[in-house]
Amino acid sequence: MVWGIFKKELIDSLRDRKTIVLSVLIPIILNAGLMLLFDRVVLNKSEDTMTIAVNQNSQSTIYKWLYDMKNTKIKELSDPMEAVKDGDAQVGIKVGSDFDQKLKNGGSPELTIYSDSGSSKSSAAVETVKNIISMHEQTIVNEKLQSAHIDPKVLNPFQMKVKNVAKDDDGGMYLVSLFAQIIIVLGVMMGGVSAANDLFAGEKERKTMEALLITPVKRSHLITGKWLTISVLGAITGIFSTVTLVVFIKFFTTNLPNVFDLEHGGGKLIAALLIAIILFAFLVASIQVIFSLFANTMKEAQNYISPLMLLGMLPYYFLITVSVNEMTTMHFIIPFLNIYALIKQLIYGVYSLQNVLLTIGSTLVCIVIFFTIARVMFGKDRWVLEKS
Amino acid sequence: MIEVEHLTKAFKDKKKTITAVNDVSFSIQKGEVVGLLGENGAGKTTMLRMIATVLHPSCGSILIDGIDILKDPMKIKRKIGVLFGSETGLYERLTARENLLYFAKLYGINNHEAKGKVEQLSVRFGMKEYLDRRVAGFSKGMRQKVAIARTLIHDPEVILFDEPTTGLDITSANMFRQLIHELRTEGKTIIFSSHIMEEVKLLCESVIMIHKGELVYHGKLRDLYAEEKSEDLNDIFMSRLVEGA
Repeated sequence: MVWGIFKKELIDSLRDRKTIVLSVLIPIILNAGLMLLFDRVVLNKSEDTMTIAVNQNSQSTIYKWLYDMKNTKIKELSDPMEAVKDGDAQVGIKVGSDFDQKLKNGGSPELTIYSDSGSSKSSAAVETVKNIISMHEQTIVNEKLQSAHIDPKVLNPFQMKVKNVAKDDDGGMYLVSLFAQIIIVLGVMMGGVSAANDLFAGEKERKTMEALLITPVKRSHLITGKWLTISVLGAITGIFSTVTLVVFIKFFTTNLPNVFDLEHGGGKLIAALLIAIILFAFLVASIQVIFSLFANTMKEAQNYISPLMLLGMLPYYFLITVSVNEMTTMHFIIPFLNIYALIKQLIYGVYSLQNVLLTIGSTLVCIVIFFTIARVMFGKDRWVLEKS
Repeated sequence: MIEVEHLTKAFKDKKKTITAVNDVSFSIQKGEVVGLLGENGAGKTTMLRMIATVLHPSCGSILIDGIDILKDPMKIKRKIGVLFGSETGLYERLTARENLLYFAKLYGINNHEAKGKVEQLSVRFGMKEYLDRRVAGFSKGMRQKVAIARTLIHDPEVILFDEPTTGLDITSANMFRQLIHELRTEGKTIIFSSHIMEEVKLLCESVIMIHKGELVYHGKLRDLYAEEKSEDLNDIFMSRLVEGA
């Protein structure tokens, strides 16, 4: 009987335009839009031209250093600070007219660099300019030390090396992990939301629920059939989101195709991700059923479920600053947080059976708890009948 | 036979308790057509919902053919067919046929038999033309036919209609009245609630009047007319409500 109910509910839901829009169109638009935006704009390797404003008529040595830089446009302006403020330049440099003279005589001439900390382009440009100036500063220091018969190594009592233990990443993997988490989780939550609203609150509103309850079918069978429908729609959307994400990255981006390394242990990663998505869909469906039972109309159900979606996104923000190596057991025990954590780890190619099992275990426990609550509610007249 | 004994239903709403049906007792013979009369909020729908096993009584009992609905609700569900409203309980995105087949399945009717029953009902109610169209585009009359067919798909012995002609045009309402006659000749036991006194007068042998959840009258219409020395059911209804108030 559960199968018959599930089959009917699935056909009914798939004929609903809202389900198709939320399950198919939105994942495609989200995936395509975000990935193309980041590929073409954020990760674009072709370097932008940097504009540096310098004070007018200055022929200082320092400017000669800057002229040698690639992709740089130097503007001679009377007020470099204003140029940065107005967005006409990313960096402004002001030096006194006696800069070269003082430098030659061993004095300590001043130079001021203007930047706009609110602009990532300006911050990056300032870093580049500072590196160039520091390099020349080091050369001058070395020359001075040598002329004083001092070994320049005296300034470096030890050698410091910083080595990255994380996977080599030019930012692409970080971005993909950020978006994969939100796209997959949102996909699961949105895929079943329309059916969840419709199959409980909607049926109460249209009085089809009453017609169902009159039939000699156990309420446990009715709720199980409906819950399976919502879960399957959520899981399908989650999986569809994942597939479209991978397809877009592999075939439609220029800077991201190498993010997924599916040749080394890809099978395990895909299996773990599939299980996590499916179980998460069942958990989300259980919670959506409860909220839909609370409501008497579709509109009311939407009002309840929308904040739930926002709450479901909170763990995502919590994990943004946590690297895959910093994740602890707790990250994989707490429901919702664990799905984000697991997706992040899997994108980085980190496969830990323990973490996968912890995620599965804690999600299963939550499914049992929430489905039991939903089942108890479905057995009570006040939650299943429209208020007359 | 339907036997209702001291039936009561109270709803708790925050700190208040609202008694929708209060200590109501009556019995209905097999094959009888009974009109259930009462104002809006009198407790008609609550009473029908309890007989239909959808709502659990707070106290009292309901027996259908000697079976207690609380003890064996599944057996009772197979015996009764219910239509709440004139055209409700249909899935808009399914065709009329899919709606009927789905409910046939829920009543445990096998696929082959269900297909036969759907054909039979579609001929009976003249639904052939639109049987394979989605319900969403149906007129009220078309929906009413499908809803009635859905109510009768498992050939119930007892049929409950809750204000079945509300909002229907004259043709559809007349079609429904004709159906009640036919079902009566088939020996079905029918309870239907209505606001239309002429309809009750025309179709019922007995009436149950309830007011604010309490039974005001139950008996044969002809006995009521004799008691009141009038055949104006509207007047009788109003005077009984005043007495019951």
